[in-house]
Amino acid sequence: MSRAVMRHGTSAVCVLLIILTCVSCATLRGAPGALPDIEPGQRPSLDTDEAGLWMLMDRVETSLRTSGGLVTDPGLTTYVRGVVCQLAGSYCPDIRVYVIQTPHFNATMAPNGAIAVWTGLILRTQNEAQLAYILGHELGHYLRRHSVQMWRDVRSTSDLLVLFNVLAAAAGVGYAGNLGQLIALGSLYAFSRDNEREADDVGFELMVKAGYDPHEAPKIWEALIKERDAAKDPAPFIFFATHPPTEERIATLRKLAQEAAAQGGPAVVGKDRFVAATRPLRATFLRDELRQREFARSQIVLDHLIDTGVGLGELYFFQGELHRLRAEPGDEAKAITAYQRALEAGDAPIETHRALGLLYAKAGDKQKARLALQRYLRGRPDAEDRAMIQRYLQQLD
Amino acid sequence: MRHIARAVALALLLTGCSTYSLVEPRRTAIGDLYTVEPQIAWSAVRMGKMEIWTVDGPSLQELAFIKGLRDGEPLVEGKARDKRPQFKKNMTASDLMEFVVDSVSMMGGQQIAAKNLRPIPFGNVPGFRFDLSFSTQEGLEKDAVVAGAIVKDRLYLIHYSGTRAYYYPKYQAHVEQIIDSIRMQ
Repeated sequence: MSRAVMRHGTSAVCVLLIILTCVSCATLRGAPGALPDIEPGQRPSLDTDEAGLWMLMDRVETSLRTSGGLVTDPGLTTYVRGVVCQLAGSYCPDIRVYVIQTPHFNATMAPNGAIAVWTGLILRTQNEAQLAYILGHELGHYLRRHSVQMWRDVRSTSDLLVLFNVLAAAAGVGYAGNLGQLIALGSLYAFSRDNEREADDVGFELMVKAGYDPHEAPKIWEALIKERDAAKDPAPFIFFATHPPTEERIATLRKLAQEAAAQGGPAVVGKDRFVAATRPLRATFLRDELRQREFARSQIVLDHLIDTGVGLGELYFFQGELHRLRAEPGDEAKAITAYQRALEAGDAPIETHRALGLLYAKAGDKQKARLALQRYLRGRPDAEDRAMIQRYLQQLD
Repeated sequence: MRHIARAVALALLLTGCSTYSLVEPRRTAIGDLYTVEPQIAWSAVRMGKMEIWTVDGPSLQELAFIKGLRDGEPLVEGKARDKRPQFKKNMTASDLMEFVVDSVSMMGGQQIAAKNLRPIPFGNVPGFRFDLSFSTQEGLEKDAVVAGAIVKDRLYLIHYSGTRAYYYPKYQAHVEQIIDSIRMQ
């Protein structure tokens, strides 16, 4: 608890990101001085600055492997790794995939081939095709060596070695903590908009080549913009700092999707595979999302998930949790309605009864409270909080 | 201003510049509400409504006393007020467990699991306790126990945490004894 008064150190890192986002002087592929694409199995020569960058990222990656946020669930990690490999083809052995439990939409690609996928992204993705598009986009940064390009371009215009060192420090331990580490791992620099367009092109190309439905690509941006607008939060999403969502981006992807679809070929959406791999952890990700107390934003996420129709009982339970935690006037009644709807859906978690019982008790409806709490104990005879629930029941008598 | 004062106090604590005082193994007042009777000597640092005891250092093991949070007050600083978990005087023990878990999460705790919520006497008033486990952002595994009660609309908490491998169990029995020794003033 001694850190109870510690302010988050993310703001300093965000400032750095913003500074770096403003630097849009990248060299495009084909332009004079542009680097050729990385080859499968290629590692930079030890006497180059690129090798130095890789060494830094290797060090960050080492600490990432033992970080507290690393998701070790074999079902999910194997699945994401499989999608990456399907996209990466002969580059697959060069890419390491890390799933990180953090409730923000982000994926990051380090120049050394370490890709980090945040669980907030998985929560906001509806199917494998959407996930493939984002992963393909990140692979695009790797294939085109955008980190190295950006590093050289920035260095040629101003000496940002200080920033490099600050980011390197943030990548280790200390005030900025894990968030700084992840940001450093994925985007030593915020890529320029030109780099972003190029990565979009590569990501799209890879997803189409792997047989995914190209119409799913713009949908993820549309959902994110909706979420951003609902949040009305002056603080930008971490992902938006490096991946500006624009109407132009969406329009381009829609046009590309129409052209690709006109050429025929497979159009895999992969909803069932995606659900099978992610559903077991969805409740954990939703709990992490609600802990942010960004309720307007979380409502969009929940609506988006409810649209999929998968596990509605669980989703209505979390709808109730959102209202209970927000606790604005009228939220108590809305929470009760959502919990009841969850129970009607048939696959609600047993904790729905407990949540209902506690709300009824607060509202003074002892009979309904007693019934709901008894149902909870019957449904979960080995409940960890049995003794406390029994105490509540005694108080209701 | 109060937040700044807390932040300064924490900075001093972390840099080793804070003023520790010795807690003798005899009955000791925790704020105005209650006393406890430790069996060994602890080092203590006091910061407003928080008092932290340790033997080997607060990053290894710490026994924190939260002394009377008021309705609407958070346990942690950092985000905008409406983004922080806040104590409400009508919270149930289940709500309070969630309040602590969410606060630990906001401080960067990962893979947090709370269990064994149960009623206990907190001195002579009805209280609660539960067990926690979590990892730091760097992956260090920690265990914790939390005991508390709401008295006159204020929340009093005792939170003991330490590294799972050694420092938590090292003084666990002493902390149990301290919780059992609570006597209202």
